[in-house]
Amino acid sequence: MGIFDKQSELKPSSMITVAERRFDDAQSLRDTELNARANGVAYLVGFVIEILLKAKLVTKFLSIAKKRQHQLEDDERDIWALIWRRHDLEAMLEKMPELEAALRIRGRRAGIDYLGHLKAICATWTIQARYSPRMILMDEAAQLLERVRELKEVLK
Amino acid sequence: MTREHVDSLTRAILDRFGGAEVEAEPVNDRGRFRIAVVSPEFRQLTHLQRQDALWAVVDATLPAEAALDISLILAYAPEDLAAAG
Repeated sequence: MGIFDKQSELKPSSMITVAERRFDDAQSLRDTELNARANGVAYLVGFVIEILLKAKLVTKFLSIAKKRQHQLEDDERDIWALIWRRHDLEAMLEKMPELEAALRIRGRRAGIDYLGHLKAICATWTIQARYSPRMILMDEAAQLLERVRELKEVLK
Repeated sequence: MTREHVDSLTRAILDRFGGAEVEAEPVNDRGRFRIAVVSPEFRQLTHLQRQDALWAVVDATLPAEAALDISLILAYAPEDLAAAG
């Protein structure tokens, strides 16, 4: 098996492990209690959500995920790019309405608005990661970390 | 989500957040919308506080099925966008 083929073999279980490690990295930054590290916490917890959404996409679209770029049909390119190239959390969610429905049901049972929390994190990360030069404080980063601690358990 | 839902949500956000600007744009042709809000009131709020306040307006305004069709709500203080150039 060639290098590119091995790369395409990345499994959802491995992606979940990576997400846990990045979450631990975020926790370590948070534990410094330094405001200078707060944006790093915010970035990493958004990255955790991105990896977990990509793992869901790989599970749902396994045959597309395993293809090499030159093997893709036209109607597969968008999904493939979301898995391996893009960081568009909003577009990932749009491809998985069943995930939104499941989070809504699970949230109702638990009395926690998981879907609303997920969309809030996605919006926050979209702004923080792409547009905002604003420095946040560690208290705000800690709020994000706690939301993601809860969310990652229902996204795994 | 229908255009009427978008209009009623826009009005509710404008009522709740003083001096706000609201834009909604479709993200697909199946009634899913992205919302962007700019308000001076967001200066005092963290990103999550902005989100929680906005989703509370959504929940109070739209039926649950329509609320599902909001992809994201992007919430900016005026300075956030000014700094972005």
